[in-house]
Amino acid sequence: MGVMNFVYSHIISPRLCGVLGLGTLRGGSGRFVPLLLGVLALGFLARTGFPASALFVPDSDSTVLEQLPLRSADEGTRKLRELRRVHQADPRQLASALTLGQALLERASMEADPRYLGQAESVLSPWWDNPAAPASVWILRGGIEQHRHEFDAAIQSLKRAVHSDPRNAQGWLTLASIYTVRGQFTEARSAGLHLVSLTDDLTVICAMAGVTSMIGSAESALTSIEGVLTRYSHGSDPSLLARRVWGETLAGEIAERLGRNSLAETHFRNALNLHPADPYVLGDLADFLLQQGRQREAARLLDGFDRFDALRQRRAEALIPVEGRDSKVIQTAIETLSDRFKALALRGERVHMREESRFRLRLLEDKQGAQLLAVENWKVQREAADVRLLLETSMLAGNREGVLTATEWIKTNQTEDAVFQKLAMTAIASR
Amino acid sequence: MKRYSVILLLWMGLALQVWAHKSSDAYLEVALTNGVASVRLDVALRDLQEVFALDADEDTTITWGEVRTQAKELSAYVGSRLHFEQAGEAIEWQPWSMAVTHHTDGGYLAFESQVQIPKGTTHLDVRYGLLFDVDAQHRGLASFRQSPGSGGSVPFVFGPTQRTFTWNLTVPTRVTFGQFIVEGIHHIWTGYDHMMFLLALLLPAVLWRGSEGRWMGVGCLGVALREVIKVVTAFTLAHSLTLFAAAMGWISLPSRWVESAIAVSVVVAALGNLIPRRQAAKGREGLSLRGILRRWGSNPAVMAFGFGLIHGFGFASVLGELALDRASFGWGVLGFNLGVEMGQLAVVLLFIPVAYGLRETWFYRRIALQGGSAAIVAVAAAWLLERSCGLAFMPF
Repeated sequence: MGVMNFVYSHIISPRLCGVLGLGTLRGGSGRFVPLLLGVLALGFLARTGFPASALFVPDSDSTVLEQLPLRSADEGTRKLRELRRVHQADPRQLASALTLGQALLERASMEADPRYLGQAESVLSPWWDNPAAPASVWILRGGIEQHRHEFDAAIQSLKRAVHSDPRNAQGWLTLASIYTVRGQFTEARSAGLHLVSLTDDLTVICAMAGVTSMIGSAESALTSIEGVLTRYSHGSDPSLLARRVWGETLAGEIAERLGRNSLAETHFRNALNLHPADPYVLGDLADFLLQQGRQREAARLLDGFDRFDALRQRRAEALIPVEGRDSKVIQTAIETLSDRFKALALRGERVHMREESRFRLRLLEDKQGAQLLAVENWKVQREAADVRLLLETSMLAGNREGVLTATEWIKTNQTEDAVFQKLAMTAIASR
Repeated sequence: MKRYSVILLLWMGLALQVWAHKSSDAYLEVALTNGVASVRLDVALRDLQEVFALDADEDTTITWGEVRTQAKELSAYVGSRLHFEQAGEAIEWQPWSMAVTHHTDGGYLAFESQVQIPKGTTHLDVRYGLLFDVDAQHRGLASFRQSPGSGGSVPFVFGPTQRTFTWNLTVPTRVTFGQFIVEGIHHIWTGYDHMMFLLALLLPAVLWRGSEGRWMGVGCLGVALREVIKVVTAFTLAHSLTLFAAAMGWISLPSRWVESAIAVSVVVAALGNLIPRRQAAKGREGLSLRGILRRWGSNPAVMAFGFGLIHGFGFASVLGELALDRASFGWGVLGFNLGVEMGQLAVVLLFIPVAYGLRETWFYRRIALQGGSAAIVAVAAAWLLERSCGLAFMPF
């Protein structure tokens, strides 16, 4: 029992926020919430100190203390090690810093590991705050910020980059992608249009389809992606492969939103065949299977991927009906994931609010907490998964405002989404 | 080549929804006892790998042997990146023991040491500069505590732009004093037994008993206020006395006994409102419960004082949970008590105008006074049963 405990359970408590009409938590000012999260983070520290962890001194020199995430035989690992050596020889040389920074960012993405982001930032530190730095620095910085979900900062960096280098495809592409994630479709479309003539059709069409499929043209977006995918169905250089995986996954998502489930599954499986063990595709396909009520298949698909927290979460969801909520596997997943969220909160970070909301909803069955996080998440990102989550949590928590926000948004953008409609129908039916 | 990088960035834009690990954190704990600071710093092996290439044989595992061969360098690194200063003067220290521990994201090395803090130090500057040069997102999550084992640690997060923490050792700081006030307010607002006791005594304050023993409304607000002030002052005086006595350790009572006695006090206070005066004819009451009740009941301030002594012990047990150390003791008790009084005053200020306004109504006499008192008796009786028998069935 401490002051912070009190602050946490009373001031942050959604119930009390409702009672006191603390609109700031629901809509209102954006500055209050980061502040609150900061206080909350300090609160965690003050309340619990750190999770007490026992000390030990190993008996034997051969005791393994840590398994590094890199496989030594891996080509990428060797390349990264080499790039580091070159960079360390002259840390103020821009070209080698950019190459290393880029490689670290790739790693961060592949391993879903934010440690590499901090390292990339450090590599760029001589240029990080320099307004006169070349566009390539600002593009890399924008990518790092995008990865940390610092979307406002990322947009600023990328705008600076494309301002000084308007023919930079990478800058426009990343901008389009961020605007799409944020649901700023006008801006996303205009960034996407800049891409025409700067890069190839596959990239342009995927970028544009990502936008138009959200604003009432899902059918034609799907047709054009399928068309361009056939044209690019050969060739195996890594860059083309990555774009094809992207195209297939996007096609799968759009087909699912159109209610064409078997087509969606084909596209997801195509993507997985091109890039087995890709965590993003695995997550997408698992979500699709869970949505179809195919829990056992989802659990099988994700078996062995618990090192990705997001996949561990999905596997646990899939296993609840099979193993039961009280089973060891579910309880372990809950413990691991909540430790992870606590560790993030200690830093004052809340970058995975979508995942955390989902965790609260499906694993902890904390509807109110999940709804509050879904609302916060909605302020940051607005993809199909986010609007569904907002609707679902708000329905379960009995929050009219959240339900209205979600349905109004779908109506205004004319977004076609069968999953959303199904959720909304259950709301009407249960009334 | 350029195209390749184009795709990777966009691809990552999608993939960032999948997360697997956390950013780099180190955990620093500093506990100060009698001029000696015990320091423990846990640093992730993955982070140290970036600085020292611990994995000498490049087999992607870090073993204890690989760590031990670089033990000296590791200690020197920590020693050169973590500084303690007093008035600009560096305090000599060395990390002297190294062990292994785990946090959620893997293996950590824990460096421990003891740092002699010079006598008379009022402000200790802690400078932290580990790992920022290799990982701009690294954070040192620190917790500073005086006297180990007690609560009330001061948290701090070290980052590239926040590398110095000035630890004020002259407790209490204004913050902790404020925290104790908040604790006090919190306690009175959520300590339903204290609230009910106070309410039971305040309910009749806007009324007086006529010759027939019937309740009548008081003529003016002043009369009611005088009554309220008497009750509240008596309660405050009594519980402050015992709160201090218990907090100082002069008197110590078993908590079950105290909690049960508090429940009794609530029952008695509320019963006093229900038993009509005329039934207790003068001269025959003797030492019977009813007689005592009547005599005390006719003077709520006396009852407030008598039972207030018991409530003070209840407050003290909460204060015990806050684990004060010697230095902050007096301020802590004072702050806590102030908080209790402020919370109490808020209740009174809310209660009086409403009660005064409604005092002539049937609702106030029947529902609020009699119904309310009966409800309080019922709840408190249940508490009494629960607390004295060591059960737990009440929701609050």
